[in-house]
Amino acid sequence: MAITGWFVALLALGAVPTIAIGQPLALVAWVVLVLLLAGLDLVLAGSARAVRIQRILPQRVRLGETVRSELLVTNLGRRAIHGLVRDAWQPSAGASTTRHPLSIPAGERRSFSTSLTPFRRGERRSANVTIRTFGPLHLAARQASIVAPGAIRVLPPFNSRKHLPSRLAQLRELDGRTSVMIRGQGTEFDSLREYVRGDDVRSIDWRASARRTDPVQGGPSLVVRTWRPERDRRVVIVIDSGRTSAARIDREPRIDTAYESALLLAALASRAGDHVDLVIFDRRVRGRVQGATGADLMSRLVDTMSPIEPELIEMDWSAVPGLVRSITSQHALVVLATSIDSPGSARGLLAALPQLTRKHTVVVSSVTDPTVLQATRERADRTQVYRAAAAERAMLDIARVSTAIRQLGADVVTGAPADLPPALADRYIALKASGRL
Amino acid sequence: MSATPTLERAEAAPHEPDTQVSNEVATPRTRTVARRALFWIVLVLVLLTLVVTGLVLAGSGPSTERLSATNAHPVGAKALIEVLKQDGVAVAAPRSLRSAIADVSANPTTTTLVLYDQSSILTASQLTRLSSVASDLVVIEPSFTALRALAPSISAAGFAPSRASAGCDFGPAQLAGSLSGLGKWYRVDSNVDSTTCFGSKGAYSLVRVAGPDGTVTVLGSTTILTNQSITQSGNAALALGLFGANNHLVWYLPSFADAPAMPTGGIPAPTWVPLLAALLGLVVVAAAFWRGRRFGAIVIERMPVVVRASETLEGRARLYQKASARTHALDALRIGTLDRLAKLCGLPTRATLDDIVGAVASHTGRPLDEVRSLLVDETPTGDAHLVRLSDDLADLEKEVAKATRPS
Repeated sequence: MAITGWFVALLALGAVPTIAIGQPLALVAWVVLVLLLAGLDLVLAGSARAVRIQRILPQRVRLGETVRSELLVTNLGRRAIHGLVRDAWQPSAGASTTRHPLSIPAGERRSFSTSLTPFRRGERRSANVTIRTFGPLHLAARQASIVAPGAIRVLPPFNSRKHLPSRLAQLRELDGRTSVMIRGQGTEFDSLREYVRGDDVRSIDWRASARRTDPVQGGPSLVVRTWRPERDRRVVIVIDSGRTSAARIDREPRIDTAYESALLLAALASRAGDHVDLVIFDRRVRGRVQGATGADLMSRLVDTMSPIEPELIEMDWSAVPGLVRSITSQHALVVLATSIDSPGSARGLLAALPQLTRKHTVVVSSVTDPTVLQATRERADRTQVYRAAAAERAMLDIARVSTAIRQLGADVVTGAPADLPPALADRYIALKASGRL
Repeated sequence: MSATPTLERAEAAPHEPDTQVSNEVATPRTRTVARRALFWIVLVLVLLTLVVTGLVLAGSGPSTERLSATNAHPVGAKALIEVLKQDGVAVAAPRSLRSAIADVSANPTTTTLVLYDQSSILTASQLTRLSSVASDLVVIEPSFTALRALAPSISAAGFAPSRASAGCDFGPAQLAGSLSGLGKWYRVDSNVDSTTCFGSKGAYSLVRVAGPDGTVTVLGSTTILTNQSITQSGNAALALGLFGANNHLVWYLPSFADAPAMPTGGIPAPTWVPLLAALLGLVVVAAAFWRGRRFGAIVIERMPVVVRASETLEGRARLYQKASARTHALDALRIGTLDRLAKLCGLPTRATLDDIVGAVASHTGRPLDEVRSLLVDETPTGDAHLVRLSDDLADLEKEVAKATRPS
């Protein structure tokens, strides 16, 4: 039950008879009259319970995109209902409006559409739909909440997909190169083709040339071997969802940057024919994608990532080598998406690295804060000089940890939030080109 | 399915995979709410009844007032009253002036009226009305007003020593011999015929004078009558003799109901003013319900943790500043500068400090000592010096960058 402003106004209007008559009975009579009218209104109002709610809702949406949420309300009661309907979306679902005026004759159905522009990753829900129906006098209303769970999964935005075409083009250029461009054990023999000027003479396959005659001139022609990058390598991405990943850099949590990098790398690697596995880990496995390929891989990745937020606990690096071992026993490219801060907090990472580098190629990717670099340059007054000193100190710490990581045989990729995903993709391409996968 | 209003019946529900249908109602029905609330309503009613009953019972129970006839506490006078009752004295303990006068008027000649006005409630006119009906009036520790109204010849004379002997020929006082726990002294005009006991040199704790309507006795102590002290010395003898002289005793302690009403001024308000105030209250309650009624349950959302990455940086900077760690701060700046200078000069990462200083000096043409002092040796003497050194470092960097840039 609810009352309207008209009820309050009507009650306040009782001042007129009260002053005019000046007897307590006038006031009592007025209050009783208003209550009776409200009661009558309540009885005459259509039932807010006799409705059926249907939702038409897409299951997923990328962060930053807009979708339409349809709410179909069927009036199952005997009377028409007039009033308001509220679809209780969570605030971060970014609903354009959550309340709609409602007017449905008995037995009919109306649709209400809301546009949702979620501004936070994860699962956004609306548990109930509340309906308030007014009586003909608009004094009182009936109200009921109907359980109508609706949920929409907000996926990471994958803004870095704009870098994908250029990186795929680089990847294609690796195909069909001769050994002058690519040397290493990791490359595979691909095919034979005719010699063109500029090819390395060392890659001429003399036996094949001897067997072959030029179809046009009839004379002998030279044939060179071509190579292509290895396929079916393994890429294991470990994302740190611990305490340090909650920090925001450029209004983006570190873990979101890690997701962006992981998505770009996975898209690239799966096109290049490699297997990508993902683990999101702090002290326990928060999310895991294993054995997925092609389009399925990307959708499973974003689905897994979407609800996971960092937790305020320390990352357990000692469990990571075992985790990687459980995923693959082969040599793999292990990408650790974490943060390189200070020697103190990186101790766990540094302790676990030797076990990983012994068998795998390891890349540590970390977001750097552009404001730190900027702070070193601002030295106008005393406060800023001290700030610059602190920033220099922080950069020195990062440099020391990076050096230690490199000494342990792993690779370091750092960058600002916008630059890290393409930087990691480039590192992958470079590793692939040199056959170190 | 169209998004526009349709006329299809409810049975024609669509069968699309992403459509969820529900008509389960979360809000309980009114009668369910009433049934659930019944227990609590009953509980509250029962508790209210209990509290009200308790209050009513407590109100009629023994009082804790000083010298009250029903007070069994140390400061009460129940012991005295009970003994008097056993001796055959009819005791009445009125709490209002009207009933006190009525009680006295029932047997005006054989009644002793005892007045103890602790809070000086009665006015002079009320006291006069009282004294006009009483033939035997005993006033305990009267106030100035009471003395003026009842016995104008008696006046207060300060505090009495706690023990005193009778020293007079008044019967009960002689019987008592001596008292302990006396309070006040009174003085009598010498031209008035009076009986004075328990005192000396014109100041006494018990004074009897003949008033216009009967005797007035002023007793300067409440302590001797209390349950606690009545058994000491001759207290009981005096009290029983004084109050048991007549067959009837009216033990009157004025209450605030006797206080005259405060006069109210101004024009009388119209009758509808309180009604309008009541209506206003009702409107406020209705408006509160109108605005306060929630349109469905509150939506809960788990918020992510927000940690700003530069917090450690800011914290460290403030720590440096607070501790005035100038050398420390300058060292950090120098290490960063040296790193960049080494890169600019194309030196390997393992280059020593001297290598860098030498390379920078040769690139900029500055003297070796000056470069070395700026990059290594100089210690800042104050914050101004620190800022200057930091500026110099930045300038040096710029200079080297300019010198090493391929032209």
